[in-house]
Amino acid sequence: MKASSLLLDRRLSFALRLIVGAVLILASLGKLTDPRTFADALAAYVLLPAAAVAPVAVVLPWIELTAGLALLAGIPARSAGLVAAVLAVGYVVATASALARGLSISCGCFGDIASSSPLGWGDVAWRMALLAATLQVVAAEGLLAQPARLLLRRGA
Amino acid sequence: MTLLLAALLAGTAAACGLAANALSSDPLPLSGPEATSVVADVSLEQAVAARAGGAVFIDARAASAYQAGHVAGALSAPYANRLEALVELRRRISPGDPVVVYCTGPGCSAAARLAAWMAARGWRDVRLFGAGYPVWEAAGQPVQTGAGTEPQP
Repeated sequence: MKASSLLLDRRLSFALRLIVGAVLILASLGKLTDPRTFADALAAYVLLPAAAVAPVAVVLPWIELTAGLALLAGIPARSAGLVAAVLAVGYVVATASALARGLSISCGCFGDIASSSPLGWGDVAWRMALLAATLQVVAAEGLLAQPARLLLRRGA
Repeated sequence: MTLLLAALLAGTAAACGLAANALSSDPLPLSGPEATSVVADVSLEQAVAARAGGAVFIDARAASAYQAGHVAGALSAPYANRLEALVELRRRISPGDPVVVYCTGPGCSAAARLAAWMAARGWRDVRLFGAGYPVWEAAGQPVQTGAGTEPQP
């Protein structure tokens, strides 16, 4: 199967929707139950202004949860994929910049700063894979699907 | 349409988060000193003076590092086990007592995080000794090994 057709494959996007949705929901639960720990983890990235840490710590898990549920339900799949893609870009930027600045911190991704080992480049790769999955969902679920299908048909 | 729905989705979620926090029994403060968690970083001299003045030292490193050597009289509260340590900290340290938190130095974020965490839990005079245990030990300041001065409950 060609890479271009995989990009628009609805069965693949269905599977990815379920996976990304489950990951986002899992990620949100730990943070929802302990926003203080998540705020500490977020502050350790030294990425946001100090005044923004607490509001983001309160709001972000809810966005993850909502996007995750919407991805599982498939309603509205494209929009949920788009929100998830924006989240994934944020994760990639946060983890990569923390590593580039030489910070030795825990991810905090699943609200578990205590138990997890420090961030590594593997975590960045993981988040890039998540980003790729969300982009596939956005593409296959229709935002770009119609024009892309026309182009593919013309090229075939 | 997709963008609008995405914005609506994120906006609704954000509103839910703010509402849930506001209705929570233990809401996270969104502004003010507690939210920004700025804890003063003290020098070695200031840390020595604070200890002479009766400040309680908190060791945020792992228990094994604490047992290998810590600031004399310091309490162990590994950042990873802070929730378990909270009861003991509340029992031993009054909210107004001066507290100095340290770990292994600037590369270690556990002390800063523990200090901010304690400040957010009601201790009013929490300071960070960012230089950490190696600098304290190298300066010939009093240290101790073992599980601590008092038996842990």
